[in-house]
Amino acid sequence: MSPVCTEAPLPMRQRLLDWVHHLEHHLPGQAPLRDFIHHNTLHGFQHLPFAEALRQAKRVTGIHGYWPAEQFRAAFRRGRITWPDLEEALLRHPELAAGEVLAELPHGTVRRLDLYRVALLHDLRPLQASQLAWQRTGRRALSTWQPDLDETVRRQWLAAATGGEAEAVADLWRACLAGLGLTDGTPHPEEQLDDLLDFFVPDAGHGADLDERLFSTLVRGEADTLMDRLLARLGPELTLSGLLAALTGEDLFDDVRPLLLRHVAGYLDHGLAAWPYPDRALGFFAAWRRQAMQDWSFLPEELVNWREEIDSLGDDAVEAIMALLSRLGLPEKQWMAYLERLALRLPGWSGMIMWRHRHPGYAGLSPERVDVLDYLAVSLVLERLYAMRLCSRLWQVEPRLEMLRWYFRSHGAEFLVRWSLFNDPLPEHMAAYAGRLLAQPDDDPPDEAHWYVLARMLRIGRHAAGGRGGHTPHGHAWPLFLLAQHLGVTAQAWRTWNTAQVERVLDALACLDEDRAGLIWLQAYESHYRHQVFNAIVQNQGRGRWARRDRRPAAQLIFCMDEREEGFRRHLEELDPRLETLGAAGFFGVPIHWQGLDDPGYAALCPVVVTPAHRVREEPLAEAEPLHRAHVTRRQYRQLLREQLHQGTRLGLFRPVLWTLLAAPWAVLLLLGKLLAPLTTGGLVVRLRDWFDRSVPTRLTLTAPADAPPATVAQPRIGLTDGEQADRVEGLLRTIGLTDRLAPLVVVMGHGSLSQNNPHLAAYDCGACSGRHGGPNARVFAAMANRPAVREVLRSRGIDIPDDTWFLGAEHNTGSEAITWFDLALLPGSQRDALTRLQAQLAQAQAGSAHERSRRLASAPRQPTPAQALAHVAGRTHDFSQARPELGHVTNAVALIGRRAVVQGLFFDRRMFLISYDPTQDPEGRIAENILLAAGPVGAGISLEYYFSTVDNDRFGCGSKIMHNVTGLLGVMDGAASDLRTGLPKQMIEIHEAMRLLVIVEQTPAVLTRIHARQPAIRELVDNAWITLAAKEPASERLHLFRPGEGWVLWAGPLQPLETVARSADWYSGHDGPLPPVFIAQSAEVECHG
Amino acid sequence: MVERWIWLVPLLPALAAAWTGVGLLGGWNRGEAGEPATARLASWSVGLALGVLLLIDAQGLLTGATPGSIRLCSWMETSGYRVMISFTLDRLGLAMATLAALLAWLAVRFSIHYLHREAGFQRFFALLNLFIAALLLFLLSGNAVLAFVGWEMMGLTSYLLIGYAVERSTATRHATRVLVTNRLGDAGFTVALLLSFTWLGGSEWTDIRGGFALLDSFQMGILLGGFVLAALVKSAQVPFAAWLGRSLEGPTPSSALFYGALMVHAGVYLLLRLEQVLRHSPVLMVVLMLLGGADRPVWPAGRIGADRCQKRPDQRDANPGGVDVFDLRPGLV
Repeated sequence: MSPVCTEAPLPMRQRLLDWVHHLEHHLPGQAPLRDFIHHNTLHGFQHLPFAEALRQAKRVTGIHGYWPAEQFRAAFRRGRITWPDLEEALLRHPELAAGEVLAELPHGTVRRLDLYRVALLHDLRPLQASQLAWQRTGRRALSTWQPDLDETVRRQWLAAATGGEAEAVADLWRACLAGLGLTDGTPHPEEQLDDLLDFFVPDAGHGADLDERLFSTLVRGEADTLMDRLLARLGPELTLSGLLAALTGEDLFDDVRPLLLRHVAGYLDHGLAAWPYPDRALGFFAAWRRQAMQDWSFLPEELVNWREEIDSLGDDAVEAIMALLSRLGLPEKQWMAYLERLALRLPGWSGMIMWRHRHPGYAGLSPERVDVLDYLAVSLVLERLYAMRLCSRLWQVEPRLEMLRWYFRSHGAEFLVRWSLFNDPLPEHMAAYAGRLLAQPDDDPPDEAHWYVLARMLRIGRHAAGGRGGHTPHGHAWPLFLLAQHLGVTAQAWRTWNTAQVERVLDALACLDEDRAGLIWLQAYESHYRHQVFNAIVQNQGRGRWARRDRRPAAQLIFCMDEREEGFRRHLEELDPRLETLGAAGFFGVPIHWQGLDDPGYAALCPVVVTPAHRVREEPLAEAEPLHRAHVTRRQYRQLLREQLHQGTRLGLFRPVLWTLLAAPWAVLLLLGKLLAPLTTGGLVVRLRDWFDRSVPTRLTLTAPADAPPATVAQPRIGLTDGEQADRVEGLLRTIGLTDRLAPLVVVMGHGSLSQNNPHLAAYDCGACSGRHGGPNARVFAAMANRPAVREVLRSRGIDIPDDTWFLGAEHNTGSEAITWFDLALLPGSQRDALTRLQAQLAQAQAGSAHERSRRLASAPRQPTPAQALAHVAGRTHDFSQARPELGHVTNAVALIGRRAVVQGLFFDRRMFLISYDPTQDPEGRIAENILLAAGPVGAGISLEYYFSTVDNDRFGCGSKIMHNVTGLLGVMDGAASDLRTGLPKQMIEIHEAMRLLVIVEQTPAVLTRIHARQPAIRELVDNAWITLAAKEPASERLHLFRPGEGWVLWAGPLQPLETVARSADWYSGHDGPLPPVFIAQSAEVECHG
Repeated sequence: MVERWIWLVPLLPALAAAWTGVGLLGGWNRGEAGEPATARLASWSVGLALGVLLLIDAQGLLTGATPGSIRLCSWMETSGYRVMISFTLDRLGLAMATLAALLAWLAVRFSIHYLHREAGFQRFFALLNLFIAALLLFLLSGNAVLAFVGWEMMGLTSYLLIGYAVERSTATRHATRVLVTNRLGDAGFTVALLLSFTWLGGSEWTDIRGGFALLDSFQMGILLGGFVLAALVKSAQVPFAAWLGRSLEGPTPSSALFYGALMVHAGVYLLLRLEQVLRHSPVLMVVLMLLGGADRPVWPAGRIGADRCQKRPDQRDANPGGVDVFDLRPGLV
């Protein structure tokens, strides 16, 4: 055993502690489930341009950041991407030199652009030798046209081909081979290997007589080179487990993972485990170590000396890490890289640990501090113990770099065979032979001669015939062959190309690598939809209502900017043109710590980047105190009962029997009800609960005296002073441009979502309220705006709220469409009629919104009436078998910061965030700047999380919900021992269109340029192309697109005429896919109802 | 007379499983388009089985007597050996089968929305139906051989559903571990079956109960020991409890049905079937009580780490079967 590292630990210790902050960038930043907030999945790469960030992320994690090409091709076939879109994108990449002419042919010029077209639309990827054999024999691809050959090209071929299809195709194949200096006579590689096997295997018995000189010069030389290269990857690319997997095919982490997770999950548990993790306060490493030392069955006995190993480490995690890395024999300069790789073995869990590391004292949970280094130390110990077992079993050495190097220096052939088997796709015959060698029992290992025979064959196989410059038929001629077919280049024409031209074609193909092709597809995809959006907005100029308020609206409704409200607002506006709707970030400019009547503590209701300085509590009215006491007692009884039903049926000796007997009949009834009639049962349960709990009328602890101590983030104060309240109210009204002609009723509508059996519930709630419900903010805002003292101050600041204006707080449930109203009892009698009218209209809008949503829900009734649709969506939220209670932010694509008039009267398919902003009141752009700073990151976070979870749902997202298990209430795992799955589940993104957010600001480019220059946060998002920025001139229909590095470009796309429909339903009925914008008829000042 | 239709109860879900499986192979019910038909078939087959059971229950309640043992025909026969197609419709069997069919039907209903758009939708329903058929066959069987058929089919479907996510190697590895552990119990069952043929001349539950008085205590211990081993493994009791933790890799509804509600109680049910016989072996009873009791602290200990709560149609968490084994003794269950 090597001694513990003793050399100058201090600088290294400090470096390790500092390095932890760096590690954060490469781990998922997802919070525990109840605080789930959408954020950029690649947040750690946000300082880089989008394309570069994706390239680097791929290098670190191996995940391709674009939709697979096949998905884009499907979008192309559906017309969601067209060739002009692709052409535009290709021409914008100067490095592709798309205009360059490659060859002049009888039927026209071949430019690089033509070649890119074929490469994008068809799969030209090189093949393996065996795949080519399959293409030849199984699909007859070398004697028939490709099935996806374009019809015009096919006709061109038919006209040109003289000897029929088979002859023409075969001739083309020969021409492609000849162009690379290859011939068609090369036998199938497996046939070659058969010959080799026949030749070599008889030697196997006489290993001692083999040609030693050949062995040492060739096999060993090659093995040494490969081994040096492999060992050099330890740290930057591989951990010890990865290295051993590359040589044995056994991943130690399959064994390490369950052992590690059990403890990490128990340590982080939020209250699910029956027994708390012992000694939490000591830190994870020390607590884990203590358990290890006390528990005789802690680790499997077959691990070598695990007790001594753990005992030798001491309680300090940093010391332990340094000792373990020294024992591994890794140079110090590789340590950080190694630890990062180790953390990335389980990115989800590492990310969660990191999150807790960065949020000490989170939710008052024990332990207060969680340290990433503790966790890495435990991982290192386990990895080492299992590596010791594997290395001693196979090679009788310690897992230490020098030892491994020493062993394989004298076993070069074994190294070569192992390496080839697990890293270099071997032909089946060879792999089977090598596999048989590896499968020999450990007490009777194959002798060196066997390894040698195989190693020699491998060498010869690898260096077998190839064409000029290492070209092969499958790797190089095949792509050329497909390319020529799709371009319509005949064999005769192809033969006229000289070597340099063929090389240029190959270069051009290589130039359009997977990443670049992905980017071009994405840009074309975005551009196609952007043209539709721009086209609609330009033509809507002058159509939208409420560009100016020249009369007082019947009511004004302020919604969250959430794109799900776009549909709801549209339906409402279709019902009554006298209603004005506005949008703002859903905390309505009131960042508070909120404690509802039944909440155990305060929760911050504001964007995550803000920390509130004020607290607001919901309290029972003074006269309702006795009722409140009854409420508290009854609620406690109910919760006790629930706790007993959950825990009492499974823990204890006799209690479970009792509880099971008592509860079983009711449980069966409830189960029947919930499954057969979810809406009825759900409604019944809610009513029963409310009846039992007794609802208590409440008020807010809203106002603090003017001389109250200042409110700070460190010491939040209960209530806001009159001045602070006026600031908040003024702030929001000015932001959304609602400073004149306030309607008699102004509804402030927060939102949230309720559903059953949904670990990702918080992801459906309000992102601007840290993934919680925004109702309390709406209620607080309305209460503040109704206070005469506040209105007094506002009047002095130039905002005159008429005396007959009343603010009402409400909350919209985006799942069931239900609306909850707050403080209705305070509503003045004179407004009651107005509210009744509005509620009737809202009821219709709810049904309309539900109706529109139903078209995209597969299990909703087809062609439902609005009432049926409403019942369906409400039922979904009570249905615990529904993996898709609602569809959340899916399909979000655009954000408009401007007056509603810009897009009012257009159908935007619930794809547009709507943020009210009046540029005529903000010539300097100060308000726009604040909105961009607040809403930009929220919108980008939502959009990018959806983007990444969609492009690779298995790795950026968390895969299907069906296999998820909630762990420790902090995240979900696949099954019982997987990595913590971050990102969005498959059920949330199925119909998402993966594109970056297009942010359109109604402001002049000049003002936006100044904001851009002032704000680094906005520059990071816009210049790095994480979002796309566009400017709509307030006074005209002109739209400008901001191109990073180029500046503003006026949109001058040809205008496409838009259809006009009377109501949204006329446009979407009968369609279940995405729909382009269309005019909703404005003309008839539709008769208002009621 | 409605009890003459009892053979429909396991057969209907089995036929539904077969039809769905054949459709999957033939390719005519695949994909999202094939979901409604598959779901209807599964729901109706299990629903009808439940209906037949409810009719028999109702008849029993009206007449005040359960049909008891029903022998339909002989399945296989050689000199000295005879296996019947027979069912036991006593209070225990009917109560358990009705409850099982009800929960199974609810699980089917739950799965229809839950598994929507899963690539393995049809495979899941075929396996779920097969499992339900197996469970009902086991619960209603009139003899140990039929019970064993159901028992083995449960084990097989359990294996295939734990490994439902074929693309995840952890799931398939765990499925194999669970299967292998369960073979221990199966071995016990087989030995007991063989011995009951040899020593008692048959495998009808009535034969086993009736013939026991003729055995000496050693023979009784060995024979019963086989059944008890099978029960302990299937119900994940100490010392075989570890497999349960590995089993939670499949889709939620099947995990709930297998490991939260029904299959883990198959072992307990087997012991209840043999309760009259077990009473003759105080030693085994004490062993059972100790093991069942030992199970109580072990479960929380096992879950101290990676704790989990699956979303499940029944409200119980991963099996507290130990309590049932423990409570066998005082006759509480």
